[in-house]
Amino acid sequence: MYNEIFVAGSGGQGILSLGRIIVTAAVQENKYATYYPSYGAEIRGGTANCMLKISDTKIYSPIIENPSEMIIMNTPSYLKFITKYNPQSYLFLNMSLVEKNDVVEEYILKKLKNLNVVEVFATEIADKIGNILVANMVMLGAMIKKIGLLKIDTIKNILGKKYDSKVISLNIKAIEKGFDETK
Amino acid sequence: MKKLIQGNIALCEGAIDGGLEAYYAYPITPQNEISAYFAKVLSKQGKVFLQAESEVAAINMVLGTAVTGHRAMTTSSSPGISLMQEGISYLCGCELPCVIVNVMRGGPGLGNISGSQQDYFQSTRGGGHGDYYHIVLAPYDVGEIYEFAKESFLLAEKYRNPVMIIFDGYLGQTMEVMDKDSQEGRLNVKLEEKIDKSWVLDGCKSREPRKIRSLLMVEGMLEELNWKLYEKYRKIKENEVRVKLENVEDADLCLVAYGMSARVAKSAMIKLNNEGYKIGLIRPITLWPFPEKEINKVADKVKKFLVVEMNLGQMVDDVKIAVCGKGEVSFYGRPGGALVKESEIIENVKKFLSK
Repeated sequence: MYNEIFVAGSGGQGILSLGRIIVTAAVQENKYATYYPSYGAEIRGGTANCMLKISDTKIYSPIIENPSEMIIMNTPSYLKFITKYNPQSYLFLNMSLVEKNDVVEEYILKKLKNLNVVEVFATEIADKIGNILVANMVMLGAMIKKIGLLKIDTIKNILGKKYDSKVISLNIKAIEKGFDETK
Repeated sequence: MKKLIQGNIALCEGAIDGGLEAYYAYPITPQNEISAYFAKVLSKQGKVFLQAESEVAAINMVLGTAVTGHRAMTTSSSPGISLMQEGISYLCGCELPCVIVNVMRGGPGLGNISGSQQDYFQSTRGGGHGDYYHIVLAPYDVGEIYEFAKESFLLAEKYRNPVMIIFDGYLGQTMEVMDKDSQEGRLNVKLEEKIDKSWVLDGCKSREPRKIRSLLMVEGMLEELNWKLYEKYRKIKENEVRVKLENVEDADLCLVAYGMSARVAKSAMIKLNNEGYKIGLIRPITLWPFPEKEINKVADKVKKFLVVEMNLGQMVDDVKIAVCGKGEVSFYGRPGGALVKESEIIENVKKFLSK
């Protein structure tokens, strides 16, 4: 097993937290994992993205050139990263905050023929549950539905060590919603 | 014990396990996690944490602590390290052991906050004035960052000389698994004799006063100091070179890289070897002293060397000196603000081999 996941969005959307949760869970499931974050100015609303590698064997370079999976949380990231990094297998789009663009869509059709695009209204789902901040967890649920990768129980376990029960239940609900509403 | 940890935090844990007693620094990205961690932890352990008013102040606080025989460290990133050069020259002149960490970012000037390896010249040639060197360690994963930080004080005290640890901002920010129980990545600093502390300034109530200074006006004294340093550097070159050689025995081409570049190079090497190419990797762990003899020996058999760096060609000069005309040395690199790419290394290797 070898996954290269690229997560991008805006500072405050929980991009880096999502990345850290995924690698922490992967390590707990006895996999090798690396996490490399990149962020702009140190403010909410700046750009944020991270590169995750998860593998059964030792990882040397933590740098990703063509991710197998890509999670895109907003329009600027949609415009910038799809054509730059050419995701290979799955593209998860937060349709609540991504406005599609003809140039990018044509690029996907012509150049990324094997790519599966999964549309999730993550921010809206999160809002219905009670807090838009858990949109990142909705995306995680959607990704687990499509590619497996991690057990939801492992993630519950990790969150349990970090947060109080109210926060955990909201996050778990978000993961489950993302999982259930992804076909 | 295995744990998932960020490079910058691994450095903190290593320094504490290595006996750090005092830490001074001024904030700068991409190494702020270090100061944030020490701010929380050090004072609780009865050790010193001080956010200095500037990098110039921080390095001189390190000097002040080192002179009393205690273990002091400062960390910064490229522009901050430039500001410290005067202090580093004084530390070398006074022969004071301490640890300086450079989590490199891109330059010149303020550049930006992403990583680079542009400070190779500054670190290995003595960025300040005078005929001095300090030991330069270049870890390539979080495990090595931990181990090098832990043993660096001992190495500094063994030679009464500053030790610098340098890695790029990318590695500082990367999180991965570290295993403290593993033997891998240890420097295994050997001590032939007990560390000499007879020079320490710790109060002269019942003994003759001692002096430590780098201003030597009496005729002959400065020359004497420089010859003494020269002899010390010779010993360091003899005893402390560390380098990792992989698949060099029957290679048609050797990649030469350190830090994050070496990791990308290693991934490229594995792919190329799976395709049937014979590629080796030389990874200098000490950048000063540089593994000159070791590379020269490899050049008896291997005739092509591709140096990979995140700058536009610095270590390549040392590789050329080491190869000394026995083979061809080529270069692939990208400057500050950009990462070297596995695909581009592979492309460059194939091009160089078919030449």
